[in-house]
Amino acid sequence: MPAQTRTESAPVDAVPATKLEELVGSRSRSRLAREQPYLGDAPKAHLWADVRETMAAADAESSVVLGADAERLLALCVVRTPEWDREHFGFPLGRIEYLIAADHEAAATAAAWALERLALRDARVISARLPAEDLTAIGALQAAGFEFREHVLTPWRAWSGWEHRGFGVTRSTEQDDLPTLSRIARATFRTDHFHRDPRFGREAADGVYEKWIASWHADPPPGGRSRVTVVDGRVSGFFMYRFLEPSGVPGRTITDLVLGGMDPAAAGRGNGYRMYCDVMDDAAAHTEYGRVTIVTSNVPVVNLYLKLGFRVSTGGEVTLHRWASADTTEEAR
Amino acid sequence: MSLAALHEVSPDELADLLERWGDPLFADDPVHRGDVPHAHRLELLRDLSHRADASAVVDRGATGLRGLAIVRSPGWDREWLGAPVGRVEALVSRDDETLQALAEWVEEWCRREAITFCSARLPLADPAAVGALEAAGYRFVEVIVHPWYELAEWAERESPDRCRPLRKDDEDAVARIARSAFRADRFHLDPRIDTAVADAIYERWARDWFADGDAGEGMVLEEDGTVCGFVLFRTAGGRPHSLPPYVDLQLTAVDPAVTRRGTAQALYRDTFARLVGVVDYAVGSYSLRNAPMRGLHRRLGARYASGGEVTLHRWRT
Repeated sequence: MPAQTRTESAPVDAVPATKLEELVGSRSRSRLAREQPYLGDAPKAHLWADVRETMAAADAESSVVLGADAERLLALCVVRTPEWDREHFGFPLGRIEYLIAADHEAAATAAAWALERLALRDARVISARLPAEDLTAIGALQAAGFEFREHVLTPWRAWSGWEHRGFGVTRSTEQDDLPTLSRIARATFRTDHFHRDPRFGREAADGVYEKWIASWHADPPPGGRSRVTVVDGRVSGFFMYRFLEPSGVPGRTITDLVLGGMDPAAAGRGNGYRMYCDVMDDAAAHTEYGRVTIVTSNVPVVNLYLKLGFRVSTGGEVTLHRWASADTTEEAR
Repeated sequence: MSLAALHEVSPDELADLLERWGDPLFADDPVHRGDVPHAHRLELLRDLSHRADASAVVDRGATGLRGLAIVRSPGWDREWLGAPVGRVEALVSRDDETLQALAEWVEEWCRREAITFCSARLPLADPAAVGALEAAGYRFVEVIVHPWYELAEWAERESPDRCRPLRKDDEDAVARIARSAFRADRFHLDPRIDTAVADAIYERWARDWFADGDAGEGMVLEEDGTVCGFVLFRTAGGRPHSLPPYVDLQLTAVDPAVTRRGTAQALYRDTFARLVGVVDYAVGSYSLRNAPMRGLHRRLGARYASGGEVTLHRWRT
């Protein structure tokens, strides 16, 4: 029997949960372990719950650990090929949901495993979103041919101290509004990682948001809400958001501000600000915290959230892409 | 590709390139708005083109400029690393073909100059340029953002009045703080740069500020007769593109022994109070990894300039 190498892989269920939790707790730089809305009595409880839920949602072949025989685990990697993406793009997209590693060697081995696993599922492109502070994991993926596509911020705020604005400029979204929402989305969203990757094509990138809007309203998620604002008699902006209770933090309530867009023709006259305030009023009435993800280069929206009292308390996250057809590994270079 | 040196290019051609490309950096902010589009970026590029240690190349096509690259190998950097150090200061391209050619030119320059360590700072909103360097082995290190303040808004605000202007005899204290205060910057984050070397970079930077009589101004805060924090700034703006007068907040540091006492906030508030009526804006920059700076600018109510930048490092060994 060959000697066990330092970074030999093993199924996740081959190791005790405590060992896995120790790796996640000590090595992950995830915002879920550092942003106030997710912190409870046990500071990393939500992160650990999210890791477990992500692994449970995937099949057994989608997660791996390295260093199972060592005193401490060296890495955890979880991948996925969401059906939603396949339906939209017409080919499988792979996602690296978690890559948590103790050092560069372990990260490189985990990255190689992820590429191999996702190649078996014919993933044509793989995306990964990692904490910007985790240079070990980011460097390992870049060395494996992944390319930087975007940086995102994840501002949040507590609703205590929020002063109800009461502009009353929004109403619930109706089915007839959906074509307008799609039009606004097409005119608005340009800075995300799909639009920043020319290999997706403009139509496919725009379509992500149209499909998202359609599926949200066809089958709203638990706690999901959608509102529109009407300016000069026309629907000019929309907001989709969701009240949720983060797992692992009993009793905590958060509004996830999922997607908001303002018709460029109606923007810049305070219309966006009033619409956002309406949504914040609703969120503040029902939850303790609000949180959002914004592409960092989308500065007007970043500044708007800061004006609304949101704060940025981590270094953000980096999105990377790797296309299977481009042989850009360091070995190839 | 038709290559030409940057000094052969007219300001109008450069402006046309930035406009056609839709250059995202400092494009829409009042503080960076002059009498031509992309005024601030144009001035940065113009300044770079006049530096003796810079090399630049442009790709000139039948329809105008298609791209430009600017690299530098400052002697200052070489001193601390003990080997040639390069910086990619700009990589702007209107199309993939030009970008590829410019990236190859950068690589060739690095080979020719025997560059051991090269850094690049590129617009966040230009993943194509970032990707061209990633393919050559550059690796992500940090994201830089640019907070700014309209000083007229500070005219009525009370300032703590705890700080005084920087004096020549503050050099040792400022250098001591600079050596010990920085931990979340790109030099300290790069495992291939020794911490002592990274510390020395900031000490040297601070001492150079004092050695250069025209470097700019500063404010310090003293506690019990000892300087425990400083901010160094430089006035900019004006000609040739009628940028509004502003101060560039160049370096801020607080003695690690006295953090969480409002020192940095007092420095900024007193600095803003002093500059009201002198300049229109104050502009800074910091790495998003720098948690104290994130908190400071949030508490002060900063707005952020368009763009943001990504820093990459590449080692050739």
